[in-house]
Formats: sequence, C-alpha cells, structure tokens
Amino acid sequence: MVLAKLIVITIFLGILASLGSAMFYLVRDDGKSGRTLKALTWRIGLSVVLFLSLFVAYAFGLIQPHGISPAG
Amino acid sequence: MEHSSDRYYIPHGSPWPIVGSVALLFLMAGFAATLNGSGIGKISMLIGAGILLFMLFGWFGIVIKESVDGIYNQQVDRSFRMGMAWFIASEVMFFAAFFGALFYARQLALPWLGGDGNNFFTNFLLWPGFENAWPSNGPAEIGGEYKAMGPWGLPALNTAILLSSGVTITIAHHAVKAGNRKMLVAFLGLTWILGLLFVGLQATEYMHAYHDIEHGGLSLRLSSGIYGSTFFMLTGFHGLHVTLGAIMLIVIWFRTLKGHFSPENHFGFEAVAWYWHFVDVVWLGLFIFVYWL
Amino acid sequence: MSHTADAHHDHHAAPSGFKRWLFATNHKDIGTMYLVFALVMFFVGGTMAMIIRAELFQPGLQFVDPGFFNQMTTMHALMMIFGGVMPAFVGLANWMVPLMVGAPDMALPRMNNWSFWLLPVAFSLLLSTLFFAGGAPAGGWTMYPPLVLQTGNAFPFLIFSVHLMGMSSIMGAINIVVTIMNMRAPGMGLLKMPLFVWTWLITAYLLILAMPVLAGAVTMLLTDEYFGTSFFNAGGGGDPLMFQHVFWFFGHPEVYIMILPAFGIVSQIIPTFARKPLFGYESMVYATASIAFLSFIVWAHHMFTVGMPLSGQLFFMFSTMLIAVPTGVKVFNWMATMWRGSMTFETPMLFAVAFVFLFSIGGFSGLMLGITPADFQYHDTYFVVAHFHYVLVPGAIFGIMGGVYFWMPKWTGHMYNEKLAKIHFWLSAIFVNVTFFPQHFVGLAGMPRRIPDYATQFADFNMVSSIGAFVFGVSQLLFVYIIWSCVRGGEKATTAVWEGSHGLEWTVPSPAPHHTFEVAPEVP
Repeated sequence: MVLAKLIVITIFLGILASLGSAMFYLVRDDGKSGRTLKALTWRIGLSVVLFLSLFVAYAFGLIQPHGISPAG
Repeated sequence: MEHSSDRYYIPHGSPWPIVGSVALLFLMAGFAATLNGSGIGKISMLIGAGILLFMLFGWFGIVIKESVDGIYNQQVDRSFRMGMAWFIASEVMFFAAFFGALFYARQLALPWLGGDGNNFFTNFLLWPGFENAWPSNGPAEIGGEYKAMGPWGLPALNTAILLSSGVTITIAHHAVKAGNRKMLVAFLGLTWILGLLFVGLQATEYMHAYHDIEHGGLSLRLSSGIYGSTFFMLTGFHGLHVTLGAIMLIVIWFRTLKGHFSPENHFGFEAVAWYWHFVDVVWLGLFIFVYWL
Repeated sequence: MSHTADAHHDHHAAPSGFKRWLFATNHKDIGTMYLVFALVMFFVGGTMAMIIRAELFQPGLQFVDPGFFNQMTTMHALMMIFGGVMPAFVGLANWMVPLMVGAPDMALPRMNNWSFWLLPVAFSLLLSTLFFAGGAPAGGWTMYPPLVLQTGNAFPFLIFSVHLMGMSSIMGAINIVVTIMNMRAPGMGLLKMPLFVWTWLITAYLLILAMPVLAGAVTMLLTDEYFGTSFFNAGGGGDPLMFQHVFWFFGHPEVYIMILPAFGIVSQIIPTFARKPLFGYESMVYATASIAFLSFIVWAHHMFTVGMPLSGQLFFMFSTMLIAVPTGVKVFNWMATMWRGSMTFETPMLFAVAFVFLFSIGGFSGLMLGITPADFQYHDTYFVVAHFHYVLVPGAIFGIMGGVYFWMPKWTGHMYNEKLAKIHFWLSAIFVNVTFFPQHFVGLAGMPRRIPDYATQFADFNMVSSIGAFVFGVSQLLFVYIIWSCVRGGEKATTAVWEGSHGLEWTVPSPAPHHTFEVAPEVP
C-alpha cells in the first residue's frame, strides 16, 4: 500500500524534474537545441507510465481512491 | 523577417500598461463592490473586463507585430523566454499554496481534530466522536451529506485527454522545429480541441458533483467542508488555467495559419507549449493527490 | 518598417508632458516614479504612525477610538511594507541595476511600466477603505482569520489590493531577474557584479517564490468569507492556524525581501567611503544566498505560541539561530572593509555605518525572539515591535536613505546640501533610538502591542517613545526639502561624484542621460 503510493509519488517527482529541466533548457539554449524537446518528451512518457501504473496498482488492489479501504 | 537588429529593442513608450491598470481598477473595485452587495459593481466589472480585453489585444498585437517585423534580436527573445519561465515558476508557487492547504488539512488538521498527538482534549471537549478520515467535511459536517468524487469515469477520461494533448503538442513542437507546417497546424489544432474538450467535460463533472444525491448527483459543493473547498479550488484554478491555455493555443494556431513561426523563431509557440505542459503536470498532481491518494 | 523603428528608438531626449510618465518605458523614469510613490506612501504611513504615537503618548484614550487605532496599526504596516519599502527598493533597482550591469534599459520595459502603475491602483483601493462606513481593515496586516473575516465592507478591497501589489511585485521581480541574467555587458561575469545587483537578484527570486503564496492565502480568505469554503474553519475540517503557516511561508521571505537590497546598498557605500574594496566579496554573495534559502524554512518562529509539536519548535528555533551565521559574516565583512580604510563620513556613509550598528541591534533582538521558551514571554509585546522596527527603520529605511544620498548626484546632476543632510542624518539616527529603544523595556515588562491603552507603569517610556517618534517624523520633512533642492539645483556633480567611487554607474555623466549604454560598455 504505502510502497505503491511512494512509487506513484516518485514517478510524479520524476515528471516535475523533467518539466523543470525543460524550463531550464528553454532558457539556456534559446530553443535552439533539442534538449528542451527531449525533456518534454520524457515528461510525457513518464506521465503515461504514471497514468497506467495507477490502473495497474488498482487492479492488483495496491491502492484505493482516497486511501479508504473497502468495507470488510 | 530576415532583418534582425543588433541592438536590444527598447519600445518608445506604450499606452497599454496604464490601460491595463485602469482595467484592473474597474474590475477589482467592481468585484469588491459586488461582494459587498452593491448593484453598480457588476457594471464596473463589465467595463473593466472590456478594457482588459482591449488592452490584451492591443498589447499582444503590438508585440506580435514587432516580432514579425524582425525588430527583436536573439537577446530580446531570450528575455521573453526567461520572463515566461519565471512567470510559470510563480504560478507553480500559487498552486503550491493550495496543495499545501490540502496536505495540511489531511496530514495535520484532521488528525488533530480527531485527537491525534497532544490534541486529546480538542477532540474530547470540542468535537467528541469525530474520527479522522478523508474525504471529510469536518466535525461540524459543513455542507451536509455529500459523496466523494471518484477517479473513474470522467476524471480518468479527462486525464487521458490532457495527456493526449501533451503528446499532440509535443508532436507539433517537433513539427515546428522541422519546419513541417502541415503537421504543425494539424497537431496544434488537435491540441486546442482536446483542451476545450477537457474544459467541457470538467464542467459536466462539476454539474454532476453539484446535483443533489437524490437526483443522482454527489451533493459535492464548494461549501462541502475542507474536501469540497480543496477539491473545487484546486480543480477550479486548474480549469481556469486550462481555459487560458486553450485560448492561447487558439491564438497561436491562428498565427500559425498566417505563417508566423519558423524553425528558428518561434518563441510564442514555445511559451504556450510550455505553459500547456505546466497545466498538464498540475493536472497529474491533482489526479494523484485529489482523486487518488 | 523595422529600420524606421530602429532609427526611432535610438535617440535621446525624454518625451515631454504627461505621456512621459503614463506611457513610460524608460528605466530611469519608472525608477523615479517608484521612488516618488514610495516617498508619498512613506509619509502617508508615517502620518498613521504619528496618530498611533499620539494616542500612546499617555495612558487612557485621548484622540482616537480603539477601532480607528486598530485601523491605523493595520494600515501603517501595509503602507510602509508594500507602499514604502518595497517600491523604494524596486525604484532603486530600476535606476541602478541597468547602470551597474551596463544594460541599455530593463529587459522588459513595457511590463516595467505596468508593474509600477498597478501600485497606484492597489493603494487607491486600499486607502479608499478609510472613508467607508466601518472603516479600513483593522485586523492587523497579517490578516489572521477568523478576526480579519469580521472586517466588513473593506474586506474585499483589502484582498484585491494585496493581489494587485503581488502582481506588481512579481512582474517587477521577473523584470529584475531577466535584466540581470540577460542584459549584462560582455565581461560582466556573475561574480563581477556589484553587490547591490547580487542582493537584488536574490531578492527577486524570493519575491517570485513568496508573493504567489500570499496571493493564494488571501484568495482562501476571500472564498472562506464569500463562497462558503472551510480552509480556516475547524468545523469544516480546516484550521485557522493553517493561514498562519501559509502566510508566514510568504511572510518570512518577505522580511528578507525588505532587507537584502539594503545589505546591497550598504555594501556599495562602505567600500566607496572607506576607499577599499569590499572585504570578502564572494562570502557576501554566498551569505546572501544562504539567508535567502534559510528564509524559507524558519517561518513558524512567528507562531511559537500557537501550540505546535515540540519537534516543530526545536526545528524552527535552530533553523532561525542558523541565520545569525551568514548575517554575522556580512556584518564582520563590513567592519573588515572599514578596518584601516581612509574613511570619510559623507551622509551616505553615515547612514551606512548607522545601518551596520543599529541593524545589528535589531538582529540580536531577533535572536532573542527566536529562542522558543523566551518567545513565549516576548510574543505580541512591544519587544517584538521594537525588534522589527530596528531592522526596518534604521535597517531598511536607512539603507534606502543612504542609497538616495549616494546616488542622488548621479540622478540629478547636483550635489545635495551636505550640511542639511548631516542634520537630517543625526536627527534621524538619534530619534529613531529615542523612539524604539524604550519599546524594548516596555515590551519586556509585558506591554502588549496593537492596544490603544496601557497600564500606567509604562507611561514614562511611552512618552519618551512618542516624543522620539514626533521628532523623527518631522525631521523627514527635511529629507523632502533636501531632495527638492537637489533636484532644483546645487553644486554640479562630477561624473565619478565620489572620490572612491567604482563601477559602471560612475562612468556615465551626471545627471545620467535619458538613455545610457545603448552600446554595451567595456567591462575592465
């Protein structure tokens, strides 16, 4: 349970990091290099992974919406 | 387009900022008067909104014109980039305040009300019988009975939509760099359509939430305690940003149709694309922390 | 098209008439407007302070009713912080940062205009509430709920004016960051920048990260009042304490926003009049950055008495103590700069030396307040009032005044009247202490702040404090007269102005022409 949450949050932090580095390259490279775009592509990829992993975790009963366990 | 000045362009004086200030004076004073129950407040707000629109057209109009005329050199372009990046940083901090409120309520305020830590008597004397749980509308059950918004259905669909729009804007981004205008127009168009679709579905979700439980809704409102407050303020401000982002995408799309962006010079596009990635990531944060965990 | 536009903007003379100010895109014009605005607000807020001190001249209720007294304490703080100190610093940055880094102007000139012209709007909204039925906001500038939610008709005006001030500050800060990061002349490496530029760069980052949090906090207040949310309502699962956390997450960086640029000014002035380079330049930069970082993790020392867990009290106490280290580095660096220098004491130097001495007093009382168990005693007493007025008046305001005297010859092309300026300094320096030093004593003895009446044992010190305040207030009129006469005329200032001056800003003529560094200068 807690581990699944941690994994979800870790992936989210990864997304934030890739978005942040995209911002950094946006300024640093004046949009000339491909680094901004590469970072943004990473952030999209990670987002899709996160989205799917939520479903997978739910399917295996690892997380519940709002952390409330079903009755019983 | 070819000419790029080697001097940093300093505009010669501009009427637009002061017009914007007047607009905000009317808008803010009008809104405040409306909240105080004054009838003329709404008129003042309308005037303010009108002037603000006028200002936005005028200000962005002149900047776009100057950009197309090639007055901006590399260094000006970089100023705009940095300005946009730090503007988004400030937006991140604005959302952080509301996320902070959510975490504070869930991790501290509600457990304390439930008697956690050294708050036994808070619970025993003030709110006997209250147990910490999430979602919650608090020990006084402000707003009455409600149901929580689950992550399935519309929210999951909306996440898929917004993620797809992130993919399409990235493809458009590749296209603008490759100078592939057809692809750029197609995928940029797709992006704003997906954006508007998101806003529309979000509105549907809100209506569903606001309907009474007896009528098949959730009875979930802004006034449904801390859960309703955080839910609607976070998703609401996000929705506002998506709406603004979609409008910006549409503007950029029309500029693309007019042939504005080149593989070398496309700051306007990148600024909006970056903003779009930002609202997209905020949504992911919302989806995780508001709908799921 | 572009060629005509190029030819057009290259030149010179300032546009005339009201358009010059309303449509201004020139950093010097906008800087001047900021400074004049700040001076006006300084007197508006100062008048409120005079009313407060008049009421506190004697125990009992004399002049104003308690409700109005509370409006005065609240508005005095808002005027001085958001209307006086912050715009004055932004004005100085507008004037001096492009000159110091060799830039033709601020990076985003139109936005620069907007960030200024939002301020009159914000303060019209706020000051108009003084004439409302029910009066101006009276719940304290910290706007704690649930008290502030009882404000009445002034409430939404308070919130929206704070929003507008925040917008103005954020845009101003973005402009300064971009100017410093993108507009430096070739050869002006980051570690070659004058310290005023460095401190402002770090301040601007603080503004960008802190002001939106305040906007969020006051937005939550607004929705709690009018739209039924429960952020600060325990019954709904929220917590009024949460406001204090969010507010001070903004509020503590805000404290440094109001002092770091003053550190920068003092770091310009002292080497000039000690005729020695600044001691420990790089350590000054790192110390400033450390202070800025620490400012984000100390906020709860403003609220030790709310009943937080012991671990929280310890963390916030120790992180607060830690700030003394980089601050000490700065103070010792200033002293080492003066050590064996061939010093002269023109007015800017007098203000700078007074700053180092008196700000340290404020810093030490801050350390006392940072000790959790001691703070239980000091909290919400006049000791706190004495502490933050020591860091703000002989701290931030003396920094600003020193900076004004230091740079005014460059702005106006005339030397100010040195004799009058010295009188202004000595009156200010003496009476700021007469005003605020006794407040330490009444505070330690238990006199609460924000109360129009007090027990008779505090009477003597309060009378001394009020007399000090009146003389301090009146002597600021001298400041206005000195500025006015310096603008009108006086001895011609040379290009370098001061014998020991160094830096790009002293290479342009006095008065600085309307456009400077249109071609980037060579940085030695």
